[in-house]
Amino acid sequence: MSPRVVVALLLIALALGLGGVKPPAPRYIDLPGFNVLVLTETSAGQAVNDNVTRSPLVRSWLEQNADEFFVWDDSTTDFEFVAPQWREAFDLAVAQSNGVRPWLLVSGERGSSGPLPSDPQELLELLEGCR
Amino acid sequence: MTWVSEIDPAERIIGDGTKLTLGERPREGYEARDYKAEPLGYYAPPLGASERIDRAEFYDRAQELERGRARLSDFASPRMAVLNQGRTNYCWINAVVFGAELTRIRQGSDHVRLSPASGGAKIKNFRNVGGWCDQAAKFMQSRGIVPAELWPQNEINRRYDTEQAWDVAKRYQLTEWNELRPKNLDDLFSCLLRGLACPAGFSWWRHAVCLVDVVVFDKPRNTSDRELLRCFGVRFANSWGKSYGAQGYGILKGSKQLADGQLCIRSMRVTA
Repeated sequence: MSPRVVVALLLIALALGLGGVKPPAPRYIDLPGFNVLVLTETSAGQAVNDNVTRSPLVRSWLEQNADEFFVWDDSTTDFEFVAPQWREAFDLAVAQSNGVRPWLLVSGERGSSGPLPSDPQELLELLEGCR
Repeated sequence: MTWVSEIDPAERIIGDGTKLTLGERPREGYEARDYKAEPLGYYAPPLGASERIDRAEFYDRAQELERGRARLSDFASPRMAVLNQGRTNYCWINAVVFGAELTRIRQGSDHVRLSPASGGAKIKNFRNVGGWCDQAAKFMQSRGIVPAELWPQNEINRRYDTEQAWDVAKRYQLTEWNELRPKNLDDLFSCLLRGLACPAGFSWWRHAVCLVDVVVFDKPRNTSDRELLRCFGVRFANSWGKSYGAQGYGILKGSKQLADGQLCIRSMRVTA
């Protein structure tokens, strides 16, 4: 077997994951930089508590560290004035959250998709871990 | 010891028996809507019964918001000043515009100062007259509101009424809002305790303001109407500039907090 064939076979094996190559990390918000989306529901106030999104600790951290962050109602249907990737992120959050509100989506290779922590410190730790 | 709200000594508190100062006396701004001709639900869906928070939770929820500094006033103060309606009689749309600006920054959009006069002038055919908040909200839902950089906040002047201005205004459309039952604290507190701004008009004052927080004066002994009025009040953002009260904010208590017309703003059009 020629060296070229061996190299080609090795490359194919790597591509098929036989060489331990990890699949690419999910991109929850397909935009450059550090971006955060919270999906909330302003009507179901008995159960949904998104006070943490107005916490001074959390907001000042987001204002300093995030390129963009949004807190949107899950009934939002009009995305004309935001980048199309935000629409995709919104749809992804709706699909992954399975009705759980509020839901947090964080961009980046160490991004996150899960229920929004209700404690400001816990949320900050999560966000720091995603940077 | 019973927990009660901390109140800035500079904050103006208006309750039953409070004598209004000369500057606070009734103006020509707020007009009471005729609920017989335009019943509840005429402008927007009323708040659903299932969305009301149990009265027994009001005290704890207000405490949680205040301790976490997550009240709307905590959130608004460092980010946006109150409006100043100047010599206009447009308190009824200033109240809604303040709530709209606040809702936008709650959603994560940049703060943009908007022009109450743009909407007020269009609704009232360029007359400087009173109105009610539902008129403003309905208009802002269909047309949006022009930013102050294109139409100065208090200018009732046709020269600013351009196609370009109203094209930009579409970015600032109100998307979801509900009418609240007049003089109803269950509806009002349920929205305020969820962080929803509530523009409201008061016939005794002939004035409209944007209500932002529930304020606690005492721990209620039960959930009766009387205890609600005795123990709670509402903080409002006025539209008389920052020199009024504490940075433009004040508190209504007792029967003075019962609004003759009130609504909640749920969401604004999403923009970057």
